[in-house]
Amino acid sequence: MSKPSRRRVPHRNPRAEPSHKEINGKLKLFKEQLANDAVLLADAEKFERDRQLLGLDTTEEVWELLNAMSVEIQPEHYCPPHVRKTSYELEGAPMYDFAWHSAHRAEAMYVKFAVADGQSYLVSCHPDNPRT
Amino acid sequence: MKCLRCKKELTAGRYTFSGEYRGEAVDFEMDGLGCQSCGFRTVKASQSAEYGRAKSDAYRAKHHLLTSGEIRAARAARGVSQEVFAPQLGVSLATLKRAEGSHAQDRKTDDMMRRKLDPARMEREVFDSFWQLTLDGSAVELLSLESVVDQSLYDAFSNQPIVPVVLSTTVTLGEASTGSAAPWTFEAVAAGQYVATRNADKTERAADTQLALAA
Repeated sequence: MSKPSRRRVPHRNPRAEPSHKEINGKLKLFKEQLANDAVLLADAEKFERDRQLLGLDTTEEVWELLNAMSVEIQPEHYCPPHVRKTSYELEGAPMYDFAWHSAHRAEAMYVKFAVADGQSYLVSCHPDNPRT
Repeated sequence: MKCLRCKKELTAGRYTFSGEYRGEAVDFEMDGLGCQSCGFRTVKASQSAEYGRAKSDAYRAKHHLLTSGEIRAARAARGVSQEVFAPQLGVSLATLKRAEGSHAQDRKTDDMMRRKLDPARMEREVFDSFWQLTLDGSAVELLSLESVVDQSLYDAFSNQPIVPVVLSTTVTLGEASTGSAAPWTFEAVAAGQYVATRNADKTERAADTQLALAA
């Protein structure tokens, strides 16, 4: 009797929803890098708009928000976009969107980051827009 | 830390960044991370406020406005908090915080801050304004700089034409449009002799006022 052929695992669809394990892992990495001041901006110029929107004028204010994010965001705050996209800043690197009510900001917040090669890049961070 | 484009290692250093501020392209230098391979530049998330400040400072330098560093340095030299310094500059606390941050102040606010930071400039402007008035015809004979009691001011303006004074009345720089009292009073104490009295409390407003002579 021949051995049954090993089932081939298809390549993961990059537009497929990430698993809980993936979300947990990427968020953990992001939060660790936030705490270690190792998160980079995917596009510093584009992030300026978010920073101004948040009214963050000083490095201390930025730090306070980053610290709050590293504590407040939880895996259940993951909010997948309608169509999963890959980051245009990071070739092939998926982005992760989270929306939560920030106690620090006292408002609903939204953050999007991408992870490429073990490095987190903050793509955007601003008050959350009402979802339709 | 890896480059997001080519995945090569990023190097920390001082790099030139290109950005846009109020519709103008500005180049500025700051500490960041750069890729020697593809030329990608970025900063840490925690440096975002610094990035904005460096960019606005480049814009301010280009337009001859006080930079955030100059304003902070002026405050540090006085050893005061923002709450104390704001009224000294004649601006609100929020305006000062923005100016020390990444918001370039407008020209009018910048002029006001410069005057407050440089009393000599303010006095010079008061005198410039006065001389415009005195040299416009009718008021040309009202004041001689020699009669100004403040010797340092006299020295500063001694290159201006001296106009003989023959008047026996008190001449006051008129009231400001805001209703504040005139900061300078010129009084004839004798023929050809004037005493300029400076009302210290009101001097700050002088350069902002539309000066007018009133007998």
